[in-house]
Amino acid sequence: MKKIVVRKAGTVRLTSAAT
Amino acid sequence: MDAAAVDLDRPLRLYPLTFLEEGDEVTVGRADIDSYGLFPADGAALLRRLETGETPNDAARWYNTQYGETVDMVEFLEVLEAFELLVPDGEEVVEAGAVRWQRLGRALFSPVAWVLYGLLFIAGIVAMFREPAVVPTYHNIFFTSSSLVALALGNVLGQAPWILLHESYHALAGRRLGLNSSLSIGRRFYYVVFLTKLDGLVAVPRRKRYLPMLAGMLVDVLVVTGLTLAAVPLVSSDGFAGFMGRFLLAMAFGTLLRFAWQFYFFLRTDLYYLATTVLGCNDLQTVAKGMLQNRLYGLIGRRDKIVDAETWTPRDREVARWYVWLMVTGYAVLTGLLITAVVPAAIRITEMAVRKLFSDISPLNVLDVTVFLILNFGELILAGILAVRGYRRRTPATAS
Repeated sequence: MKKIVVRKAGTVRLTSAAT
Repeated sequence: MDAAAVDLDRPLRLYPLTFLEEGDEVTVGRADIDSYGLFPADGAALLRRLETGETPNDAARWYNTQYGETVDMVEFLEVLEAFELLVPDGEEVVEAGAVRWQRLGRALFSPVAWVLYGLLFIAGIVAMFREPAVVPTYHNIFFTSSSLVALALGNVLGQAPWILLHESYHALAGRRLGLNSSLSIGRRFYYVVFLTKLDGLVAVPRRKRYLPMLAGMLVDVLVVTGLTLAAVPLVSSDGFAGFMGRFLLAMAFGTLLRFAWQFYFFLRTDLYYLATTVLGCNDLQTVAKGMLQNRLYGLIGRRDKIVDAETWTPRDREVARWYVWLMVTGYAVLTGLLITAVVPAAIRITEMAVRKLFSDISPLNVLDVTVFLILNFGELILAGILAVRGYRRRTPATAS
């Protein structure tokens, strides 16, 4: 049986230092 | 919904999906909840068959004809369920409306806007050459000598509007592409950061991801040049006008420091996302950390803790082999800074505050010292609290 491997896509968090 | 109990001779209902083909993989997911998976080309093709209303059994027969193999359909449906792509029984699909602020996003990155940005940048640079008093330098931080509290307060609160503008530009560049976004507060090592979540970027072609990623730093540059320009007629004045001129320059220098902070790419800053996009990665930092942990667990004989490298994309694995050392070096440098600069500074600041407190126990002085300590340590303490909360979330107490 062929298993289809699906990977989780990365997340995107764009930042700025608080001070 | 239990995938194993699904009637394989009935068509499935799927949420509206986005497909982005990239090389051997296809990013498929739901834009409404930002849930995306990287499917192999055959998996994405199989999903498209289901999307057109074919029953799972018919789609499996098609797969067998097409690829000469029998697909594990039940397992595939479990994957679709894990990514929340299947509509549960009794639930209706609500059409997602257009995202808000899309028109503003388009206007801010229109050709006219780019011309204005260019003019502002050139005018700011010219002003710096013509008026040496407004050139960014660390001396600009000291915009007042009247009170240390006022100085710290001005430098901390003076950044707030520009930080929000930075994050707004990320969000609006995303809205321009029709992507949802949200703002939150998080932590990068011992820095507290504001975060714009733009997970939908993984579903747009890579060349369209650069602008939303760089929009924050673009506006940082414009803020520095804009504040500098505004300070030109004020800096040589006396009284309140002179004070305002110095305060504008203090905010400009603070913005420049935040711009420089983006080069700590190993903290997953905007430049990290830019670099990983150029390199064709998916989740480089997670893979680099996983690789490091696997190596450490291997050394101490905890084979049960080792993560299966097959869960990472081949490109991530390839890049992580050398990136992991950059990441370790970066964290080592910041730890060195913490030990040699931040901690000694914290000790000295505390000594000063305690001495000042005991010199005068009046309510006003106590308030002055308290505000001073909050301004200096508030961010470090908040970073510590966020770190502890994050650690607790990752390691839930096991039931005994």
